[in-house]
Amino acid sequence: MQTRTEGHCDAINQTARRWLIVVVLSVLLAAILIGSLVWGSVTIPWRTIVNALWHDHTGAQEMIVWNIRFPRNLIGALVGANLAVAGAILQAVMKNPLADPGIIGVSSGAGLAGVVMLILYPAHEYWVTPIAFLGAMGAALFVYALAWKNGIRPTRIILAGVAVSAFLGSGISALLVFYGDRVQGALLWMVGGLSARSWPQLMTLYPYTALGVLLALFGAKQLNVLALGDETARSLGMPVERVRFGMMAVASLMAAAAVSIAGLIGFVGLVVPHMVRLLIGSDYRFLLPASALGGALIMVLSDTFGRVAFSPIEIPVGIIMAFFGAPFFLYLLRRNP
Amino acid sequence: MSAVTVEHLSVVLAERTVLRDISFTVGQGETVSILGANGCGKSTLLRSILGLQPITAGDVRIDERQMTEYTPAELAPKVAFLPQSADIDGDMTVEEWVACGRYPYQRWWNGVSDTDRAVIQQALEQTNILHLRHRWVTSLSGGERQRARIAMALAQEPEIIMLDEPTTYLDLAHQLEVMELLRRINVEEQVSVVMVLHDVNHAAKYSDWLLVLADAQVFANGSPQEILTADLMKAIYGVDATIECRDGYPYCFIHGLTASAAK
Repeated sequence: MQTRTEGHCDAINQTARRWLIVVVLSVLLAAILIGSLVWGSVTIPWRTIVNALWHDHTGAQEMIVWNIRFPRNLIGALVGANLAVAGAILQAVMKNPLADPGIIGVSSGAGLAGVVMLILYPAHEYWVTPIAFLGAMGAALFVYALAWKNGIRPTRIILAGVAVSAFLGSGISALLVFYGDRVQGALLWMVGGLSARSWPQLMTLYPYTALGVLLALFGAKQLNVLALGDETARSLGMPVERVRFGMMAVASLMAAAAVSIAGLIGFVGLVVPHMVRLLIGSDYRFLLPASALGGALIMVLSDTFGRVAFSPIEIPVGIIMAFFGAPFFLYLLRRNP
Repeated sequence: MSAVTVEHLSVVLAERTVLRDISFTVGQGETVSILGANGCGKSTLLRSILGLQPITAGDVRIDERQMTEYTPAELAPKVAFLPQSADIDGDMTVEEWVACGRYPYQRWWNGVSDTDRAVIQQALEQTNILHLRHRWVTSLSGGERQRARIAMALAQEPEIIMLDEPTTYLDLAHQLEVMELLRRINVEEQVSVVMVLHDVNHAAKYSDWLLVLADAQVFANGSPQEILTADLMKAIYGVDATIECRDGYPYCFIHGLTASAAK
């Protein structure tokens, strides 16, 4: 940002500006969370929405708001927050701007486990979420184990992640080819979406998000020191390997929870941290909460658009996000030096 | 009391001996410069002392205790290290950057305490960058940035500061500024300084003694007056030089490459 090179008041102004961005993102998120309840296959008046959110869940429209749209929005927000924070953490600990939850095997692990359930055991669909979560964590652990050699080096984990993802990805492809007649549900799940998600999924997801965001915020100082370089961090007394492993575990947990609920949603984990960094800078004390808010905002916004634009046909949120998010990201990238 | 004791240290990397049977002792409050041609193992020696490079044989003791017995958290208040260059990834102000030096004294959930603030203020004053405290680190000149890095090391309140080529990439004035700052810290705070240097004249002027490495071994070890000779310059760097005494320090004039080096 150009202002960085100017007088010393810049830093103070910049800190105020960063807080302002966090506040603006929070307000925007709250507005879209509530505002988007109006739109859908039926338009619901404000009075009904207020009633539904306040106390009355008896009428048909109130039930749509309370049981379908509101929990779906909240799930979208949590999924977006989880993926964006996980991406920001992974980019920091791996010192690689291309790192995202996919790089540690989370997406492919969840993908294979989910597809196995949906194709081979379609009658047990309710097991998809927990099995996908186990798949995601299992794949992440496998990647860590492969990358471990007297500690975890970022390059090794990225290479191990690429190899494991390719291996698991081939398993997914094989299943899709062998069971061509059953791929519809699996494909939809892999694209990622929030339809038919309600309070039970929200209740499953929110403890992971709360714990993850809390741990991530406590880790912000560690990430700032890690950004000084491994040798400087170590000479400052940081157990670098342990911090790196701990923060990756937090990211894995958050990403695994998100993909097991919403399917394989790409883009958020990779691009949202970059978007937010362009707006707010690289101080992780601001970058992590802003990524959580930014991820939530983009996810809910995209999901609302996907629900409304071609109603009654729904476009999965993953497609919308990449379609609009990527050009916007490129615009931000071009605008900033 | 010795600040650093190195005994029979050897490092072998990929079947190549990078350091062979190195022994020396740095007394408390001493300033020592490590000299030698590129690739002779200077930086590896510094990193081995700090435990950043596994050693193949020998012993390193910091403050009379085996280096291997220290956890990173125990070592940090003893030794501060400035690698050749630090990544500047974050958008931090000079003050926030220097505050990173307080990391060894903070629990991971703690913020900056009053004691931390006082130490940071003192480090900024000692390095003459108090007026830059609210500037972005990325906006600093090379010399200012190096002073900020030294301030971060001071905020660590170490007994020993180790620096790997602290004047590289700096212009002449900034080089002198950094060397004077290190001398002041050494004299006023009684902090031992161990640094890798390329400038022989800086090393001669600002060090109590020099450790000269060649072919992975100690080539010479002693006060600048004792060991800095034309023969040493020829043997180590392959240059013809004249050594004269200026203001009580040996001063080295380089005339050019030796005939054999020029080939």
